[in-house]
Amino acid sequence: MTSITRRKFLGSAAAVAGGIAASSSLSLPALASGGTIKVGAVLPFSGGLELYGNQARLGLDLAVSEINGGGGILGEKIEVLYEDNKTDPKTSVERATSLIRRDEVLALTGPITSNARDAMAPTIKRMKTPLLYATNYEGGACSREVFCFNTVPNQELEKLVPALKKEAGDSFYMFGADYVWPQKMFETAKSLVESEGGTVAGVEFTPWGVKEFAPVIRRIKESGAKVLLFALPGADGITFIKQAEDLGLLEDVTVGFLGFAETYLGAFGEGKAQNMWVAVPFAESLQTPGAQKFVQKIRAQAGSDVPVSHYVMTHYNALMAVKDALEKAGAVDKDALMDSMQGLTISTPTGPAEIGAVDHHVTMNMYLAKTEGAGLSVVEDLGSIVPEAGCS
Amino acid sequence: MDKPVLELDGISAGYGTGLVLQDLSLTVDRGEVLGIMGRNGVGKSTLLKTLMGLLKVRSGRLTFSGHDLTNAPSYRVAAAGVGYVPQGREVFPDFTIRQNLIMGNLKARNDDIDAAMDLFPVLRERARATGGSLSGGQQQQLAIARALIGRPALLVLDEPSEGIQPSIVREIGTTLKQVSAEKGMTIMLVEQNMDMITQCCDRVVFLEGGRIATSVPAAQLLESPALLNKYMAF
Amino acid sequence: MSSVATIVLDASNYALILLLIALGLAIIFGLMNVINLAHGEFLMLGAYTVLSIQMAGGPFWLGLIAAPLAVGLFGLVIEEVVIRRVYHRVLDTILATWGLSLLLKQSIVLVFGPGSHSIEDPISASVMIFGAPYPAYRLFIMAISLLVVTATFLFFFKTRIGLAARGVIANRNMAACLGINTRNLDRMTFSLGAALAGLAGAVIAPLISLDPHLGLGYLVPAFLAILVGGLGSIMAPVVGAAGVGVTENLAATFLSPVYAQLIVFITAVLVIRLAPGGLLGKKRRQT
Repeated sequence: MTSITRRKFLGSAAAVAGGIAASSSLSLPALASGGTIKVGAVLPFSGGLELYGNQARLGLDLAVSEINGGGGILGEKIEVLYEDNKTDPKTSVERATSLIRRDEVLALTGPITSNARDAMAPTIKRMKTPLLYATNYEGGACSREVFCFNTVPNQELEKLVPALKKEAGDSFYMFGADYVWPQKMFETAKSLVESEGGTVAGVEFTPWGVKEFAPVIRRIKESGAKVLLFALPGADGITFIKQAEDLGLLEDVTVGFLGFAETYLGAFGEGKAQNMWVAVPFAESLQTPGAQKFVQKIRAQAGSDVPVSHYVMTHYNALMAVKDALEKAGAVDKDALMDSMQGLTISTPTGPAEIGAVDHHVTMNMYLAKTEGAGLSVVEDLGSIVPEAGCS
Repeated sequence: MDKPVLELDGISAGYGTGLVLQDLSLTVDRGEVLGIMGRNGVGKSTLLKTLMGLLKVRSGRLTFSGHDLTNAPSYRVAAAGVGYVPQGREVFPDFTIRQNLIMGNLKARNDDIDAAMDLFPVLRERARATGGSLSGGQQQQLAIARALIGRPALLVLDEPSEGIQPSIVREIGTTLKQVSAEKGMTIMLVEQNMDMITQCCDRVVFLEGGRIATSVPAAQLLESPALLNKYMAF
Repeated sequence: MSSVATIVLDASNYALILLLIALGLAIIFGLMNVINLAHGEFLMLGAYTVLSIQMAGGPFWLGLIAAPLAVGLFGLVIEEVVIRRVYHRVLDTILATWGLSLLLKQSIVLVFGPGSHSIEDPISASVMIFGAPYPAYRLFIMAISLLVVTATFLFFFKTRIGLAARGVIANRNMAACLGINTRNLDRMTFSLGAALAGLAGAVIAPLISLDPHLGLGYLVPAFLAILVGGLGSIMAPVVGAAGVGVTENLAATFLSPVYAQLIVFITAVLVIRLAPGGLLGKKRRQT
């Protein structure tokens, strides 16, 4: 009991201190910021998902330099304040709170994981600060403050499932990590498979951190499935694919890799993990002028060997949307930004994208691609796909 | 005159913050068999544990055969030539008798082990038994043999007669006397058992208040019950 | 359902990997009372040693030999610099080794980046066993694990230094009073435990994604294995790793990985509840 009381006390003490700091510095930024619009980025730069944090940063950095190079927004410069959330929800909330209170950011972007985003949601709501979320996720994050710039399940699956059915066969096995994103993914996938006249041979989940997948791999093999819809992100996913290759599963099934990004390339070893199919809003090998120019600009800034995945583009898009929205509104404040972003169409490296007026999710172009050689090659331009955001 | 083999100079030591030994000084001559007596809790075992490096010396100096062993780790004390037979014997219960003996000297050869078993024939009879399966008296004999196999210059024993039947106590006493005489080994014997003390010892010191209260030739002990009354009675 | 032979091979393969990892942990804990939370990172160092050699163009087999040597040497240094100063205070060893694990992970991120790397399969062939193909490399892992575990047991049960080490496990103070150089033994123990982890890391490297966090996924079941087997016994990890590894693998085979983890945890809790010292455990001496 005492610890709770103490925590409460510390919490309120911190709030008071924060309030004082905020009010005492109120006049300063108001005067000095004649120059800057601040956006806070709560991203993982340690703790496991730093790869994604780094990708997001590439896109944000490019957007900043393009916006400022073009004269800023309504005469003001834009600045992104990066905070490491250590891949941890609690830290995310702390960082978000301090960015809003102390740094008085206009908007936040990030995080990567859904549990960090959900943890930040009440803070975002209470402080009426827009959140520009640019990671693919399960859907359902709907509020006045939240805007989602990456995909929800139907955008990835709608065209991928029929393509895989045509390519490999009718029978689908689904295997993923035991949390909400794969579960929602598979829910959507299941109805798609069934409406396409295919069958679901099995749906299975695994806890994080498992290193030995032989039992699951054998079960999938014996199910006779032709397609494996796979939603196990990160190192565990790589471990699974390596073992699936060794145990001969990849000869029997074609993998639909959900949540794939170029960051995975190279992690499987040369000539491994071929012919895995994905649907993505961007691929670095995409041969359109817009996409190629984007890749070039990123590499000019960050080095020629960085992977440029859709995470780079969606975070770039998120910040560019801020510029368009504020310029449309003609004012720099949170409400103007939120109002103005609703229904806004922005131009992106892959063509125009429309921010939903009600659901705040983005309708954008999608691409069917597969792993081939050392890269990801685009098979088909799927056109723009409207998100089913799952807002009730 | 030879230099004493062991010199304790103003030693203070104890457990936690309390001091059991306070400014204790004692010298032991080479080849001497010294009895150490005193009431319970007066610091006899503490003295041996301090000597063995199991307890920290807070002040004072401990010299053995010319080596300063003040606060040396136990294995260095043992390597310098001190053999230890602790209270409760502490044989390795899961090890065989042979393995227990080897623990006393990792470089022991078969004849060393034979020689150790010669001292206490019962060890040979039960050579394959584990330490834990032996009787108390047999364990005590094993503990002594284990200490002797390292060929110590000084053997220290903590109440070897405790809980052991008299016939075996006498056998142990005889063996100690014999080893001391044959090899010129120095022995320190903490003991309550008067028979054992008088059987083995040349000299006896009495501990009281954390230091040596008095020192007498063992022969005098029987003639002066007053001493025993003064330092042993409750 | 897979053939019985395949199921048995898969389960043994996993149990033997766990055993190799748990053995190092158990030796270090048994002799030194140190709960080495950096053991998973020693594993990681072993795997990254193989990666470094692969990047330099060297063969996998060289990495397999270099990993235990490098990590063993590293363990020796860590023992001297860190562990020996804290080993008699259990809580401090937990904090120190935990800190070490963070430090190692971060260093690997700095040197190799946060992303995943891959080790080429050193043997890509399959062997037919009872009519079903089985990857030869998995058989090789089983052979290596059996060999190394057997050698470790021979060392502990057939040599005098091994005897001395077991004496230290049973009664550190008495062993020291008999002249066993506990200081050298501690050095040797920690280094040997680290080397075993390094070897395990090298051996499993081709099976998994190489990233700075790879240790944890193995450390948890390895800890369970020594808890279930019993603390303070060198035989315990054999029983524990077999128990944990086979249970997890069979549960994953017949049910699902989610249930497998659940069942392993529940079984472990039950075993520890019913036999607090573990299956082979006995009351440890207070030192």
